[in-house]
Amino acid sequence: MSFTSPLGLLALLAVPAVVVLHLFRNRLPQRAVAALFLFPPQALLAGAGRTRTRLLRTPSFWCEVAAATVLGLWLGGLTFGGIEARPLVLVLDDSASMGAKATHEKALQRVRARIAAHTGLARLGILRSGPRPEILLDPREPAADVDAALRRWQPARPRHDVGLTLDLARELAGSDGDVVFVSDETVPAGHEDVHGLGCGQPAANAALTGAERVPGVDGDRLRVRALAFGNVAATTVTLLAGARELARIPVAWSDGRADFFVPWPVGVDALRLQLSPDALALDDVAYVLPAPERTVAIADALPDDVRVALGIERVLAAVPGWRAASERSEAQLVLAAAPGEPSADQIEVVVAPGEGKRLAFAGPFVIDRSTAWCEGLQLAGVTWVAGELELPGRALITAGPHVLASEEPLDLGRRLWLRLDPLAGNLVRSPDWPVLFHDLVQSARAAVPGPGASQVAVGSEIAWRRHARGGDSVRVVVYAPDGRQQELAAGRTAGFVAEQAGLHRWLDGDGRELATFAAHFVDASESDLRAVTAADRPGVPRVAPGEGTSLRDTDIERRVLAALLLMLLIADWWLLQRREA
Amino acid sequence: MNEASSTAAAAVATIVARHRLAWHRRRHRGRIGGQRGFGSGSSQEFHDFRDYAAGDDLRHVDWRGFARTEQLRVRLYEAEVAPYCDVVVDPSASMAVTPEKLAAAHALAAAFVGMARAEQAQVGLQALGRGPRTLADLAFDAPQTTPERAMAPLRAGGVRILLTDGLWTTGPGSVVASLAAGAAHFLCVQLLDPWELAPTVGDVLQLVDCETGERQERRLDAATVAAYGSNLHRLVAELRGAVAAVGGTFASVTAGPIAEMFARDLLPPGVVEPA
Repeated sequence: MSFTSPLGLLALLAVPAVVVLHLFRNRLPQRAVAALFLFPPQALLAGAGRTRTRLLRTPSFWCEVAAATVLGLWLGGLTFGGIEARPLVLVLDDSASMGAKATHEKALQRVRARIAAHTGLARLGILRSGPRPEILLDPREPAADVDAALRRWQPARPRHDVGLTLDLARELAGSDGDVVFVSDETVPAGHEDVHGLGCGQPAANAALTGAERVPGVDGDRLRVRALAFGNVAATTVTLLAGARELARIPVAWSDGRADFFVPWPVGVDALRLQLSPDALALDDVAYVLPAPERTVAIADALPDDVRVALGIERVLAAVPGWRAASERSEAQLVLAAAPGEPSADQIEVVVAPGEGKRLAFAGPFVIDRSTAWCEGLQLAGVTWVAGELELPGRALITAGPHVLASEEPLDLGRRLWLRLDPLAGNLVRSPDWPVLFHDLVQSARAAVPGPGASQVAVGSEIAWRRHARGGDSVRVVVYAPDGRQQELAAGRTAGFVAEQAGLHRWLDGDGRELATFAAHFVDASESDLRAVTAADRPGVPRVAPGEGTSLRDTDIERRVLAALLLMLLIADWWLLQRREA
Repeated sequence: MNEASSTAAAAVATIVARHRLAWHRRRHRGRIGGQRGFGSGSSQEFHDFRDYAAGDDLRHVDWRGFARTEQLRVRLYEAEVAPYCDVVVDPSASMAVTPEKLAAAHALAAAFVGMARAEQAQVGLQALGRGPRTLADLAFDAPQTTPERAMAPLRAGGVRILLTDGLWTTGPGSVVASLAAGAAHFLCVQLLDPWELAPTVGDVLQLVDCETGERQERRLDAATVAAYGSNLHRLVAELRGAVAAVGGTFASVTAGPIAEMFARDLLPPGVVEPA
């Protein structure tokens, strides 16, 4: 035990002070006031109340004496051997360049050496950097499996800000701990107290930066784009369909770039592209998957004569990507002669001729260009015929003050009103008629359930859209390349942020595969391994040398004393309250 | 709900039914409603013309002008909105220094919220330095001797009402300015206890500051009370001046029954008006 602090000895004077305070007490009536500072200074009252009382050895008195004693011990820094422990928190840079084989091996080796060299290590924390920092090894937990934590570190992220992770590490390390940033980059500015452990291994590297299927008159082609960083060896791109190798294409670099087309292999829907092995494997793979089918379901509730007059079959024949829906509830686009009850994701088109005498409008027409429904409409040479009808909602097409098309605001879904007599005029025979239906089908396509895309960049979000009616809570699980599964949140549209490169699968609640998508790693700054750093940078120490190295966590005494002090104060307060009551 | 609180709630409901906040001559921002708003909207009051832009309602196109000039211009009408109203309450323990002041603070907060809701306003209630609150969890127990800032964002173009006793050791200028910034109108209601306004002369007391816990023994002779009154007057004048500097309305209210506070302290300065 050591008790040599002058502060502690001085604090012990609080014990006789408590006794004196209990001897000399004034008993004036109390009044709570809101602003004591408003009362002017005044000499202490003399003779108000008793100046001296018999010392009452009440429980409150003993509590206060004990509290003063404990305070003295706490300030004196009572210990029973050993001095403060010094935690170490390692921040592992999770950016992809750290996944280069040589760099990763060197980093693991240096991390293990750093842990072993940390004198008097009592607590060890390991964090993985990222947009959301991840604790691989919590320094607050006593049992530490360092190897398991390091096995989970498989760097694969695009470039990201490590500041958040360093801040978290600093908090976990406390005021006296060490924070070490394990990276192939220098420690960012503003973190001078962080030690940098350089692990970079400069190397040449090539990366696939793009692959897509391009339709062409003479058949589809595959477009491949790649970048070379440094003097890479002869590189080839291998095209694979599943495990079957289809072709091996040598890459000709031009100023470090390659951008070329090859014919799309016959009879193949999906391709995997593989660059020759190099320093970083993550950016050597790309997938080209077919775009997800997003077929719009159209429910036709028009009377037969109106359907014929509107030429619906002819018009829809010119629009790709739709199917007829037998049930109105399944459709994303509904054609009707009278308003119904559209669901949340439906567009309902109501064609109403109007009442009374027919009016013919030959323009000029004013079209609201802010809506996607009217994109490309010209109405040049159109004669639009309709009867009288007051259309609700926002006017989309007008001829002077006469509203011919409008969008009615609805709680669920959207409704397009067309004030149109299909048996007269020439709108349905004009080029604008299929353009309008093309726009409507395209708008409705956004509501089609299923995946939003088949390819996504690592670090980006990909969406899954559920069916409007009763589909909000349907289970959808994403199965990542490493076997991890994540269930999507409930809601009409749920997103998933791809954190790994490779093929992912969408599964339903029963484990059936619904679709696949590929996540590509594309980040030139991480693929460029030429300027990585291998140099260490010592951080500015936050505690003086010699402090904090320890074999035992001595905070325990201070914690116990602090808790005891708190308990005594609470007990004293409670006793006084009871007495006053 | 006990009998006392149900009686207080009934009194507040009666007051809310008979009064409204005096904000009708001002322009506000908010959802569609019945008060004059900033900018253009869908009322019947013609406001201005401007060039047509994609997305404008084609029904508002000036077709006669189009026939003359072939330029598409739209008619603009005044907006009618349900204003935003942020009631900001000082949660310091000094607001609860006496049961009367505490009851008055709760009643006034409830009355302001009730009157704003009666006008279909979007009402936000928050405690300075603490963030959003409901009337049920409004507590006056913060040991604040200096004014804190509003934690939750205040909605631009709305009405803001500050309920405080203003008994701060530092000047209220900055907090008043921050609360009034971007508001259509700012109201400051200072609530004080009768004893705070006029302490009893002759008492000898141990005064306990309800926020700091500091204790001092004082003989409240005439000179002490006069000096206290002078200090309090200076503090009130500072708050009144800060509110005037931002173009707000100030009212000093003496804690008491809600009906008395409205009739005596809030109607004359035009904070509220008969419904």
